Amino acid sequence: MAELPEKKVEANIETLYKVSPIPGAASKYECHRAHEKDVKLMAYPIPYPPLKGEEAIKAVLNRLKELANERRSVRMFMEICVRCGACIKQCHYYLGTQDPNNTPVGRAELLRKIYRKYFSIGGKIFGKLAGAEELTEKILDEEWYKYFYQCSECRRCSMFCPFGIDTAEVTMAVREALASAGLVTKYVTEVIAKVYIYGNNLGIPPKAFVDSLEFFAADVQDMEGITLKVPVVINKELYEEFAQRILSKAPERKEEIDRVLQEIDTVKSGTYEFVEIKDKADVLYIPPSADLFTNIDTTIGVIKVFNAVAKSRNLNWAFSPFASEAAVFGLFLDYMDIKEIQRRVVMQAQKMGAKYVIFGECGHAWRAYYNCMEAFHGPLPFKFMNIIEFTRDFIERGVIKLDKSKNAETIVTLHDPCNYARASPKIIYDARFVIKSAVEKFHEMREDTIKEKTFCCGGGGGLLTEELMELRMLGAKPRASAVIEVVEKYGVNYLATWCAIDKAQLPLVVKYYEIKDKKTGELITVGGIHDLVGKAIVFEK
Amino acid sequence: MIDIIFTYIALAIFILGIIYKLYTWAKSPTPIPIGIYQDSTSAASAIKHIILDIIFFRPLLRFSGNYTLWLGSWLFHITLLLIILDHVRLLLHIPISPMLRITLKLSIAALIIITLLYLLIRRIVFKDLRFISTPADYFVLLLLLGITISGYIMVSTGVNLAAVKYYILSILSFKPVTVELPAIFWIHYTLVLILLIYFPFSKLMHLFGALVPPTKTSYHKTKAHTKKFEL
Repeated sequence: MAELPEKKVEANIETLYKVSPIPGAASKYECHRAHEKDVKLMAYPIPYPPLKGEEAIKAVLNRLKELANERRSVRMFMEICVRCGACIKQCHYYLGTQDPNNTPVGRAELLRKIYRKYFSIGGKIFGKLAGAEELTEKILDEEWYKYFYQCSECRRCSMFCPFGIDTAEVTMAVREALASAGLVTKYVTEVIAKVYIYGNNLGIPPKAFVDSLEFFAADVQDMEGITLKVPVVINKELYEEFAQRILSKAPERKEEIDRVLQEIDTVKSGTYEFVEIKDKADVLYIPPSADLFTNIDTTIGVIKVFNAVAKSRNLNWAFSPFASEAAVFGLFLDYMDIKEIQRRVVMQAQKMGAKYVIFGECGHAWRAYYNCMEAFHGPLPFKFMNIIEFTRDFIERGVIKLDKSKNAETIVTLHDPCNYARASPKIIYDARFVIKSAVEKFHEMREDTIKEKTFCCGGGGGLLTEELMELRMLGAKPRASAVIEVVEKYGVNYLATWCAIDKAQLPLVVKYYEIKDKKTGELITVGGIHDLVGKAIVFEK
Repeated sequence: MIDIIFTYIALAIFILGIIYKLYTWAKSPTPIPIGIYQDSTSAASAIKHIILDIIFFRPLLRFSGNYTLWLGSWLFHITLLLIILDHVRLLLHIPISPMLRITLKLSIAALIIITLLYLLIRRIVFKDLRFISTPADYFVLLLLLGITISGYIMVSTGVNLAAVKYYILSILSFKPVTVELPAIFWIHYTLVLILLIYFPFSKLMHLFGALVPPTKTSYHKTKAHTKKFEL
């Protein structure tokens, strides 16, 4: 990050609110365009190469017209905004970049002026006088493709709008319309393609997935002397069925598919000390795949929780490499890919006879599953929960015992991931309950940056990509400011969060803004909630 | 004669336009729940939130930087409501003491003009607001200023309200008559008719947007989700 501009942020967020607008300041940030091999795999029909000129405009307008008929939110949000400006200072990307196109109203206006031209009577008759504008290729490339990929779909603005206008709905609609013309980003399509081939965002093949779990358990055995069991379900038929789907779309990916299918056969019981391979289980646990790669302590914490519960009762739980990803990047592109990504989870759960599906520490995954799974795949033959609700439930029942003194040195604050805070009832209080059960010292950040008013980490919504690094760091300013405030005030040294995107983005933010522990002078730790639970959990001998 | 035809056209566009708009809204479905409030878990709680948001403009109270906007817009809407109620009162023959009439009416009219001027000036003064404002935003404010200022002049110059009432009631009962009224009334009246025609096709539909906002009518009702693990 050496090439990024030297930026400082103050512990007082009020200074950020004094921002003055610089139109076009953020027009330099742009996502790389998608590759053909990924685009072909998307469930949504995306043309490749991207359409040009009139063809592109026609495709986009057609889709927009359909979207206005398919989603009430799109139609109403285009028509009821009064431009009162209450949302202006609520977007972290505006506070960070000062570009008024990054205000919620400014961003929506980029679509609204086109909507007026083609879908409103006033715009058709009075044109510019009614604020209507013709759609051009330049608007697609320079405005929509840039600014609608500078929205993290965090939905913070909807809390401050008198009419609850949710920019995420507008952003999702525009991204879907852009996709109709082939304008999609490399990052989002690449990640979704990996889910379709490997079962997770990171492209971890099944054997590596299981090997990692074995390694975690072995590590815990060595370091702490606790023997953990890690059950894994493997149903090869599911892989075969989905392989057919993929090959019919993109035969050139046969090599990758074959590798996955061959690997499945090598994952067998008996070759592992801690991992048990089975084909049925009552409970399916789905982590964000980053928790197997970078946020290892979170996964270890979760495995410990399941083992602790399994000790007191007959709990038949398991991981699945086939459905090894909680994240749903379809949410950042289109509804069809949300549905297709979730199909893996639903089918895996059905195949193994799961009665419960439990989702790991991943924010937008929770929104996608909480809001979309039943709508797209319901009625569901199983119940689902978040791991934080599961852990809370068993802490309350006294099944999971925690020794706070093991986290005595840790002074914690909590970053509420956007999608938990604004998409499902009261789950953010479960997180607080679990943290307070696991640590002695917990301090909230200032009130206008937490709970349903939480600020985005700056990396959500499909923006967690290298080429947007500067935008991501600027967008993290409000969060950084609030963290610095509690670090200075209470000596906080652990920034807890329960979202995989946060765990990738916030350590960079901490480094960029040099947020250091007062005592040691080291950068503060960013980690999951189950990291803390895992450290505090007590196993009865 | 032209005034009567124009009135009926305006009323027809106003009513049919609103019905048409609401129909297009109702026709589009909400495929996934998009509720935003933590504790909105039933239709009753969703309705509670909508009502509280409408009455107190709660979303504007969530950020201290919006407090002046809250005051300005809340006072504007309340005074507008009072003025509309007063017009209805006049047509329904509900008497009110002359003392109240003059002082209250004029102070309320003055207040609405002040709030409108505030809403206009902030659009011009604040750079970010100026950037996102469209011609339509200024048009509505200027139209409302025209209506309220002409109304103020009417009341303060003592227009013959009995004649106005007679004229309006004759139109509403479909037995229109022509009545001699001063120019200031016709200015006021024409601007109101323009507002009615403009209403369904403009951001003024936010009146209904506030009544049925998709993120607030949608509430959390996912059946498969549970907070208690039972096996």
